[in-house]
Amino acid sequence: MESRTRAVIKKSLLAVAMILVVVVTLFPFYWLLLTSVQPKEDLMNSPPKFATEHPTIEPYKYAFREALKEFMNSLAIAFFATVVAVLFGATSAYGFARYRIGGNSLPFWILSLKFFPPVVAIVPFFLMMKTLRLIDTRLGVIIPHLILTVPFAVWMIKGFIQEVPRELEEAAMIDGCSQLDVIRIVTLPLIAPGLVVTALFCFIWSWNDFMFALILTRNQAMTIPVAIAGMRDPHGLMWNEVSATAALGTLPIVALAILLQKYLVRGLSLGSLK
Amino acid sequence: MTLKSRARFLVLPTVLVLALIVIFPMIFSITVSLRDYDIRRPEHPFTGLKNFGDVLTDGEFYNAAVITGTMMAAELIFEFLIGMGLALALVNLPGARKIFQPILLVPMMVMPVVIGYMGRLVFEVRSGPINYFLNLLGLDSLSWHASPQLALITILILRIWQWTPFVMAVMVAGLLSLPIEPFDSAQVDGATTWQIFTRITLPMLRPIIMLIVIMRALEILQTFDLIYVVTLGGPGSRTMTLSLLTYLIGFRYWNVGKASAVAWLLMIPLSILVTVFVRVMERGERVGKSN
Amino acid sequence: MKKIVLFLMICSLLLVSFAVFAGGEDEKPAATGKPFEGVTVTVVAHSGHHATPWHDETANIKEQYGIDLNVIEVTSDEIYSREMLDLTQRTGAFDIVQYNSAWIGDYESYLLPLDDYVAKDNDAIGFSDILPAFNKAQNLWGGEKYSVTLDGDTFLFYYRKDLFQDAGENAAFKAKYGYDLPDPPKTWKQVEDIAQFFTRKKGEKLAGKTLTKDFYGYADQAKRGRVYYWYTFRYVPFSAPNPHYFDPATMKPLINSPAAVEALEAMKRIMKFSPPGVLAWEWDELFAAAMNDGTVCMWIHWTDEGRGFNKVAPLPVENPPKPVLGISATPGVEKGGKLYQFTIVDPAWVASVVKDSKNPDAAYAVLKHMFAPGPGNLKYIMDAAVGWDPSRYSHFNSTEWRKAVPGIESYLELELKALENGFPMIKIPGAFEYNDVLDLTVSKFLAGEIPTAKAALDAVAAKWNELNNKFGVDKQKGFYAKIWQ
Repeated sequence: MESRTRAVIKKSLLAVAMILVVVVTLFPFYWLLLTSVQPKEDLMNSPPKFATEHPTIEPYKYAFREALKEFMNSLAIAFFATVVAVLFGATSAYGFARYRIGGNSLPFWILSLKFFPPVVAIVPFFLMMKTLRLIDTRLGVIIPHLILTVPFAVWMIKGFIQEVPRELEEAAMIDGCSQLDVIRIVTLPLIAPGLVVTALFCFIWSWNDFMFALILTRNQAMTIPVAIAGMRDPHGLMWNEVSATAALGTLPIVALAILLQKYLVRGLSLGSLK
Repeated sequence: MTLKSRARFLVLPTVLVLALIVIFPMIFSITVSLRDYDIRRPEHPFTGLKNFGDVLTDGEFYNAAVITGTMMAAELIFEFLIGMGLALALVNLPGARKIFQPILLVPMMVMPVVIGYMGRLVFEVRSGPINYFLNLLGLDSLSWHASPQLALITILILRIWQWTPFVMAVMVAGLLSLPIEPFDSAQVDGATTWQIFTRITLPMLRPIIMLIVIMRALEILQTFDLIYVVTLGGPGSRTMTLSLLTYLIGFRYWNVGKASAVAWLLMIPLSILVTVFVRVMERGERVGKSN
Repeated sequence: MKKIVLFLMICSLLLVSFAVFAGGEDEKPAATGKPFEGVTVTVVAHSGHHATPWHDETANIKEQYGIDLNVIEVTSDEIYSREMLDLTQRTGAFDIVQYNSAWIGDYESYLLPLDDYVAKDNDAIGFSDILPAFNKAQNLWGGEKYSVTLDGDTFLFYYRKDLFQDAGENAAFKAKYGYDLPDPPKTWKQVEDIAQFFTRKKGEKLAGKTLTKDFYGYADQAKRGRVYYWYTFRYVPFSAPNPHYFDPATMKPLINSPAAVEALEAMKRIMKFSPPGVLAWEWDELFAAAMNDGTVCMWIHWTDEGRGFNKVAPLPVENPPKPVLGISATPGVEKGGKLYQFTIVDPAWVASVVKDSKNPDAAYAVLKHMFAPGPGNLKYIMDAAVGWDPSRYSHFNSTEWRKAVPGIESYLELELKALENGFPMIKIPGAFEYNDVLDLTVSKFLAGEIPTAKAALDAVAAKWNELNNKFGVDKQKGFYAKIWQ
């Protein structure tokens, strides 16, 4: 076979595969959006309804009315948990990666914090927050979230830093750059995609947390996942309202992903340094 | 001050903050695991290793361990292969990436509880679209999460759907952070795509791969929301994972001591596994670098 | 290096201060002359529509009593954990708790019995108006009034009366089984026969017409976490004439008696005639299949179908007859020529005053306002969206309701009659664990993880004995006795 034909076949196979992947990826999400505008009677219809003749935006109105405060809470909490995690994470990751501070045990200890099932940490955190009078406050939720996000950030960023060959930094230093300049000019651009991905996932982690938010909030600091879980009657679920709120809940993350998209570029090539 | 001791300041704030937050819960859970701690009763008598004994003689514990282990193995393999494939595809299609990447991240943006609810709808035997499509293709409807045999697979499908984007995104970031030089020289030397992949890409990605495996493994271990909503560990106990069991023990049976014992028991094999894994990966890295 | 650290510390300080001030709440003063001016009463309620009456009455409560009502909504799965955490820590944060009275064993020491209040104001809250079945199963504990019914949940049997009235099917049934098709079915044996008779595939005939979908004889909510209710519906009548969960004299579990084993075997047998997904069915799945799809012939459920009786879908045949929903009491068992039928009363949902409340008088005033018989309370009971089910004579005998919803009397009168044979569920300390062990084991048996019903129930009995020992056999005996006082 001619190599050009082979290339065309490869490319088209790839395209078909990608389209399939996209369909599979988006289908449940489509179902979510569908459920959010469907009239209640169409739920669990047999055969399933793939579109609806009478879409209603009532569920979204409900979501705005009931969940706005929770939305803001989630936003604030996730934002702080992310920023703190990335800042602290990046600085300590550099120390671990380049200077091997604490040898192997210190970074390992930080990682081991993630071994612990959140379930078991609930009771002590409840007691802790109660004593500190932080129940039902945003700070009361941010603190346990840091246990989720900081170790993650430390290890992720450490990994990305380790990917950058030390020789690059050393070469720059020999050329006369200060330590700070090296980080700024060499390391940072190269690990930018890694920082971005880390930030995105820290945000998602905190945004989606259910356990801690459930136990540590009452009214004031309630977050979206808890609000969604509450959208049920004793017997059944308020499916439409749940879907609408969840759909709205994806918006900040979508926005964040699009915003950070432009930092997901290939790092500078070596040529620009010389 | 030497460079190294100045560098300690990089690490100090993080360690302090984490230690402060974590110290009370840690001590609490260790103490509690050695006691009969039922939140409904004021006395918490010291019982030594009884909780640990209870856990190790509890059939449900071993059942949950097997299920969790199976899940972990299957999920890791599939997510890794699919995620890696997607990442390579995206990196080689820079134009398409701008559109595809946010789309492919969508599953991660939906709350796990909600994914569970959608799973219940989508896989419902009578009214779910999945069975509808199966029927269109001439196949029989399956019982999915209602079937003792298929329930775990159904959960796996939902989980893989949810988390492969994570693997993909981290891989993409990792691939993009690689310096171009080695690839240029390799192409000049006339290496094939496969050779470049196995001899250059994979070894250079070692820290990232290690990261992904560890992070995913830890998260799978703690998976809770989705299973809670879709099957609650059922039918029977076919999808009862360790985290669900711990929740039941600690939060419904209020045996906080026993739940803590489960957590600490898990720490041991986990720590060993992770240490071994990290050592193996780092040794490989050092060997690889000397090439 | 130092500069970076300093920068970080300032950043974190800023972030922390922002976070701290973004949360928390302040108090407000007051002064007019109302009985509880300036008092805040906090109620923990089930989330969603169920909490609507509390929210809607906030303004009225403020105006009449000067009370600020603070409603905390929690989802039903978590309401136990949340309330227990606060109650056991004696935070005094909650004044009124809505809960499932099955947990009374655990909640008892933190709640305030209401007998004194009731005596003082001559039963203004209307305990005598509440049906005895609900008082016995929900509110009375050791003879004391611990709670007031918020939601009268109970279980009824539903069936396709339109199908049962078909002459052709009646004749065919009599020919096959040798007795008339009972309308309504009264025993589990009959239900099994009828389920077998009516389970047919798409394309076969039903009531003389061709089926457009598969039709199933019977369905339960058989999902892990729910299935124990549906087993209890069989356990109790099968254990007649004097059903008990434990031997009252010795506290020996009776859950593995020969009758119990028979009941579980019957449950497994009938699954042959159930739709394939029942092992994953919660409320929505069963309701949708039965009421919206019309593909289930008989089922047991809460009272929602009864209230929405006119919304049942037609049978899945071409040119279906007018859809008619049949309602009756849950099937019983015939022993020695006598029919034993029981209506299981769901221990949920009740409301009580917390002992550590800073203002129990105000809390009781709120309870009275919400639940005393009258148009205010009736309004919410009549609203199907809210989900508060009738529990009082004033509800069941309401002329207003009959006027508003013609035909509702068939449901109201039927439930009233069915509740003459009300039967409680387990209410001793650790009720959740006893029930959960039963639920897990039944679920395992239905899923095929345990080979025989006897082995399954023996395992449950063993676990129940362990639990008895954990809580103290004598103590549990005392608590168990309280259920029946």
